[in-house]
Amino acid sequence: MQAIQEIVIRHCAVVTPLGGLGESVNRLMDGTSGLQAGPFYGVATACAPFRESGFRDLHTAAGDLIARIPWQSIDTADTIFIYCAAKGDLSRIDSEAGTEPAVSPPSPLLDRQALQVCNLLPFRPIRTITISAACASGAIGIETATELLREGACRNAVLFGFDVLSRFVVSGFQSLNALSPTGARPFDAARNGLSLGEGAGIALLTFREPQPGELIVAGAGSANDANHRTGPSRTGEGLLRAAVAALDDAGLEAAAVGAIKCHGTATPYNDAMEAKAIHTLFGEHCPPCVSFKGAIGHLSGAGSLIEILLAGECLRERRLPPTVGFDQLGVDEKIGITNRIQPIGQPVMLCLSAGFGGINAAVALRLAAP
Amino acid sequence: MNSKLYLQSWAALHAGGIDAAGKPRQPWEANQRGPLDLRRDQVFDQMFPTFGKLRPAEKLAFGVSSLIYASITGAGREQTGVSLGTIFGSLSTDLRYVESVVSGTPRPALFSATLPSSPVAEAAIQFGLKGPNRVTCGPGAGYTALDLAMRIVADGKAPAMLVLIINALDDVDCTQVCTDSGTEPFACGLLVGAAPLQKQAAWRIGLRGEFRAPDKVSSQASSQSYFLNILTALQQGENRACPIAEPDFNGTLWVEKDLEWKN
Repeated sequence: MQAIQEIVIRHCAVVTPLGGLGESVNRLMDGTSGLQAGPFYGVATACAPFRESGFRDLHTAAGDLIARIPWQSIDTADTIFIYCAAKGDLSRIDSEAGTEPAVSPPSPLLDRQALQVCNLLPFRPIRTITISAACASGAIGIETATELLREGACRNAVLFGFDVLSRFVVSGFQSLNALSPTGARPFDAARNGLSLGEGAGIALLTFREPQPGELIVAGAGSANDANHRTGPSRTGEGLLRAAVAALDDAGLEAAAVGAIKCHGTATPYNDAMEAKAIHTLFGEHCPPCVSFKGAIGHLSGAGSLIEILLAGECLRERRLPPTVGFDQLGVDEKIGITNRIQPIGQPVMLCLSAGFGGINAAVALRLAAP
Repeated sequence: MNSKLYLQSWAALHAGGIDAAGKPRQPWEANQRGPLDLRRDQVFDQMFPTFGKLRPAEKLAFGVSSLIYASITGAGREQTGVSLGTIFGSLSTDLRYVESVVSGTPRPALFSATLPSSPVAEAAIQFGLKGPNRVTCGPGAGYTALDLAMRIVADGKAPAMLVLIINALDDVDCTQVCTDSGTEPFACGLLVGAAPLQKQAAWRIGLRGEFRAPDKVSSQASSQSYFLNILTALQQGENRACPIAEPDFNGTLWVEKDLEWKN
């Protein structure tokens, strides 16, 4: 019988406000928050900065994360590179807005940032793609990689996500009145806005027969609300269609999903529409849901990649962490937001992402049978 | 990648004027310098009160989308996606937003357009395009956007994809941040689908060749000339194969009439 090849997350690493991959997951399980009281860039808001500010430099973060992948054990022929960011490193532009410039700030053009990271890889990829789909960039990057891997356009895909705090981004979200002054409380009755954070992540995806216990990208999908440039659809229709597309792509029914990693920004409208989408898809049989943004903040475009990698580690452990900041359900639909560690039953995690421009994306992760 | 898909419609805004499928080229008027001076009534026959507030990249995306959908009716829009290739992303708007920050009053209307993906929203909202989205950046974003869109259609994930290739930067902003010069604002829209639209000439479009990872920064304005070449061929009703030898793509972009298609 011919072995079934699937898309395996072979290696990954992240840096979040809570630390590296293992440390971040441990701290998520502990209910630890990386949010710090402000002000940040003159704005009275809580943010989740890196614990070591050096990671805010693209070259430093990329070099560190690339070094964590055991490249010597990987045949890197036929590997593509996908850079995922909403804005990436804005230090060059930020310096014009009065922030101390870095020594050698990278170009604000994302393709040039991608090239900078690409040149740090210990091999030359066969293709580079720069994806910037707002806060769904990482998930769209994974969806793109799955298409190219399945079609045989490449054997491996390296995804790198990077988005950091800046005066540009903090002042912008403040101008939209989207920031919480105290800290994000996803899905909570008292939620009052999002908290920004910063993060970097790398993942190596390979199309091959999965080994027992490996994480598989089972399916991915995306859809547009076609509703509003910054606000989500009130009905959650776009996110629902993205989730259904991801499950269809994975060949899975909703009943197979054991847990949901929500986008969960803690803004009134996002969480309300997300609850509608989840309830429409799962009805009364909603699996446990978590948002990481009360713990690590909103990591923007890179965040959807980083959160998917964190969710994958939770799936490996078959445990879903509590949603930091969540106390009392503040959405109309009864969805099961975690307030303590909960076991993950079925070995499938649905990861939801949404971004400005009405872009919604979903990725279904599955754990290979032991 | 070697898919042949149908080109259902197309449009372009470039230094030479306004092009749309089946229509003669409309040159810019004396008081218009080019695509960034586009007026709403040149592309859209309905009211659009916020047209004047669109940022350059959004205006160009709206312009070519309007030209394409002016001649297309019927179902399928809800499944149609958008694949945007943006040469300079939102850089022009980024710079204007920074100016507002420096002035002490950050402008939310500008900030919300400081994403390379912003033009997708305008096209999706105005024309009800609710399918998959891709947004790619850089000199070769045009080829990449077309390639990714064609894969989506070939996979059956969407019946059609609107491919938008946008360069909204003018030389002033260009020289402020990049070393490039000589780039001109440009927009191209291609509606590619698994089947031709009824009552329209059937044209096929293809992209054949190899993508590559460039090892150094290349000119940001490279892909638009190839697309303009192809669209000029379409306007003249000619088959054309356009060889491309760029740092990030080596191959051929081509269009040809489908002689087997019976209208």
